[in-house]
Amino acid sequence: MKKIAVLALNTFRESIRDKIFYSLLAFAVLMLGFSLILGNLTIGDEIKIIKDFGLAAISLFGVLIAIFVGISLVYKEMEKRTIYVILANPISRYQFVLGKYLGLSFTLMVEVVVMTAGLFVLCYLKQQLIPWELFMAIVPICFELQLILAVALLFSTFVSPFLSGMLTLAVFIIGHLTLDFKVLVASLDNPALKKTADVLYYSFPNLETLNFKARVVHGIDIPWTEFIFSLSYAATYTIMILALSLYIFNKRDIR
Amino acid sequence: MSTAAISISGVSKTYRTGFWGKKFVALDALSLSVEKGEILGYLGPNGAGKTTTFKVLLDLIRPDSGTLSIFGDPADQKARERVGYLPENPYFYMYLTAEETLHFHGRLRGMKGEARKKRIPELLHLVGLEHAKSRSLKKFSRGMLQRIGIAQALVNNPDILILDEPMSGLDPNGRKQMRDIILGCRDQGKTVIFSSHILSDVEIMCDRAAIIRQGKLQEIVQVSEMLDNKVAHWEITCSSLPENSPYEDCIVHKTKNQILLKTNGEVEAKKMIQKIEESGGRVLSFGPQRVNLEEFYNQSGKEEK
Amino acid sequence: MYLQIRKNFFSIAPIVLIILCYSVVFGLQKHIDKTPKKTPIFSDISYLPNGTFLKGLALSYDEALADLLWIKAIGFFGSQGVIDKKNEKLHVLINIVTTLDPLFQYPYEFAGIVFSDDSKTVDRSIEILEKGIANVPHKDRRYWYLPFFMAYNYMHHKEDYLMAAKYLEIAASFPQSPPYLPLLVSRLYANSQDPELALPFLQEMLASADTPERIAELDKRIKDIKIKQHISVFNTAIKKFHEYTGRYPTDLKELVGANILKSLPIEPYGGEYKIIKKGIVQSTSDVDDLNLHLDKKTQETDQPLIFLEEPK
Ligand SMILES: Nc1ncnc2c1ncn2[C@@H]1O[C@H](COP(=O)(O)OP(=O)(O)OP(=O)(O)O)[C@@H](O)[C@H]1O
Ligand SMILES: [Mg+2]
Repeated sequence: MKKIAVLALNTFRESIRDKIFYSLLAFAVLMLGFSLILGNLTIGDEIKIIKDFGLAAISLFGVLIAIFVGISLVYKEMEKRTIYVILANPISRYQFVLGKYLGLSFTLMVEVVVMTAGLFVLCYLKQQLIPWELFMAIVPICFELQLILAVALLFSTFVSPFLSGMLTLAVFIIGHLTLDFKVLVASLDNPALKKTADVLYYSFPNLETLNFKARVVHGIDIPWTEFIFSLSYAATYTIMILALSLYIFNKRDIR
Repeated sequence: MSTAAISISGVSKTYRTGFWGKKFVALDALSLSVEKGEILGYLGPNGAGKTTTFKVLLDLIRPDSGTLSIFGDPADQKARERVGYLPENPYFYMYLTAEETLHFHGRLRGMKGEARKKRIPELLHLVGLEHAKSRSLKKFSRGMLQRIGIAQALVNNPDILILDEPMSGLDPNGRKQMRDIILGCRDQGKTVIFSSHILSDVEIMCDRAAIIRQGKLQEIVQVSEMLDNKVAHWEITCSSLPENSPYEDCIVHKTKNQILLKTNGEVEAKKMIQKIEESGGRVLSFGPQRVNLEEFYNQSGKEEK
Repeated sequence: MYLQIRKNFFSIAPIVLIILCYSVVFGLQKHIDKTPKKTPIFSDISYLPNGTFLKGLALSYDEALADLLWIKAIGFFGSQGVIDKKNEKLHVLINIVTTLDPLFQYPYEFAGIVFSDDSKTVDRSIEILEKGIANVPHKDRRYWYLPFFMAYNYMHHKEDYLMAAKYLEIAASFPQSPPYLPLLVSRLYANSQDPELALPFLQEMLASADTPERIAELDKRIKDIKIKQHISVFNTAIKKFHEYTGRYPTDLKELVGANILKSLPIEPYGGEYKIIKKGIVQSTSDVDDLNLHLDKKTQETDQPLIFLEEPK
């Protein structure tokens, strides 16, 4: 357990020294600029635009970081051969993978917290009110990020970063489209297509279940059961992907 | 039966490469054991399987068959607590400083804070990196990385050291330091196995040397006994050879002014000298040569072919 | 022995965990699906910037973005079942999609049909179809549907039969259009007020309808038109009956008896036709007002069920 923490902290340190956090600066500028421009373009609800774009940016930046850093988690260690010295220590493979995962997931959470703070400041400046209710959307975003990160990690245990980046991106996109696809196909009379939609739906993570953004921004009540179920869904899915990564990584040679 | 420090028995490993999983036998039923407190040199041509052996020992690579044990126990996570490893061309996290790297590895080996604080300055001193301890490894030279590599391997004072080409990349001074470190480890009762292409190093330091070729153990040489061995051949340096002499075959090396000859028996050599002097040549030097590792190494290579 | 077990444990544990997790995931998924989400996916649509602005944002992926929005839209309107005709969202969305990808035929057709259901939104339908007629490439297989439904709008809602005929002629000039179109054009020019003229349009709509609700709705409209048409046939027959006998029939069967009708048409809903006052026929099923002025003029028809015959 302690060794996992050591590895996690080191991974976190790596992300700090690799200046991943510069992306936060980009986030701040982008969000500010966007919301100001859009706020001027739309008549009326400026604060809504800020919230919409803020949430979208938090999720998008999070996903980008999760993918770009996650895909190189394990593979980069092998490519740069840093893994030999690490794994020659008395640690097991699963400690290594979990340490890497937790370190990066911690990084992601810090990013989300900073971005959220930025969004709140912007909202406060515009409205003199802090929109605490946005957490109902941000917490599911965090869960989604964890899931995406686990997927990136899974791919990075056995394919090159470029390919795993592509694959993770595909999972992200498909994960958001399967629901639409299923609904669309349900109205058609094509059993083969329906079957395909079902297979897709149940074999890819359904990321739309974690999308509460629109409802939160519009102040529509979200049933607690749905909220809890969605989060448990994401958490279980993440654990499953992690277990799969461990299984694969544990079997392979570190050459 | 006393337990060996490292015992490898019947280990085979086949790599599969490329799209079609083409097979390549890297280790072929390799058996080898390293006794407690000895220094074993591990020799073999490039691609013989030395690095592979080490990786199998450290569970980085899973063998197809065979068993590996360290002090009688399976070579697993627990056993690695007693092992320090220096990979060939060690790579570290470049964003860490030398000191941080050692602390990191110390933590991974389960060392407590105080123990690390005491041990790490000692190690930095030992490998001569005190001046660079808070420089990030990005700015380290190849040899400095090698030094930090050995320091890292020693961080928790392990009983066994596995060093993959420890001398590579080091300057003459560094080589001497590395030799001293390794010999010092033996004095502390540690067991060392290291691979090398520099035979003289092995000759100087090792108790035994193992030669591996194409994944098979070819020979184990008792280095100390070998050095006590009888004379292997005689060497004569002279200024010129008599014309049509029967010694053309004996020439090892020839420059403008000097010719180096090599012959097996003492009697033969004396005869040679006589002939040379009779024909007006000058003998510049003459003496016996003892068997060295190079000979063994080359011989076992020839037998193979 | 212990080590063996330990080793096996570590190789099997992940698999067990994976299977366990998946069953939980599957269960949760099923459970989440059971509780329908109340919010429409497009609750935000009115906040979408207009299409021209989005076009800049789409970084040359305009068409892909249009497709995505379109897929979302179809999914949304499909899941809502009945399309809310007064809903602004479809209109906004179609505008965005058709601005992002003006060459995409199907959104025009879809929205053109949806908005033509109601005379209150028919102007939208006309606007969208006009945009489509101007932008969709002529070689598109389904291009002819755009002028075809435009003709329907003018005929059915606007009663502008000349415009209707003009658009129908355009539709007929495309080789993919059905062969009966030219005939329809000439009949439009000749007898603009034939309720039966709406039938082929509705039948085409029915062929491209995709949800059961929509199919049911179109079916109903077709049946209503048939009833109107039957009633107009009865009116003609009753007038003839009156000419010959000087009285009005009390029972519709008398029309068959007098050899004016060959047989009585079947009421499409399974109801009956009855004479309620002298000379006025009504169906037992309720009929929506189709905004057609049926009793202005009567004419002969080639509806297969009914034959108007000269009395002997
Ligand atoms: N990752 C790998 N995939 C496939 N084959 C490999 C891999 N690593 C090593 N080999 C092959 O295994 C054989 C043994 O390699 P190994 O690295 O053990 O040699 P070595 O004795 O350490 O050589 P050197 O003296 O050059 O370090 C080589 O022929 C090499 O081609
Ligand atoms: Mg090697």
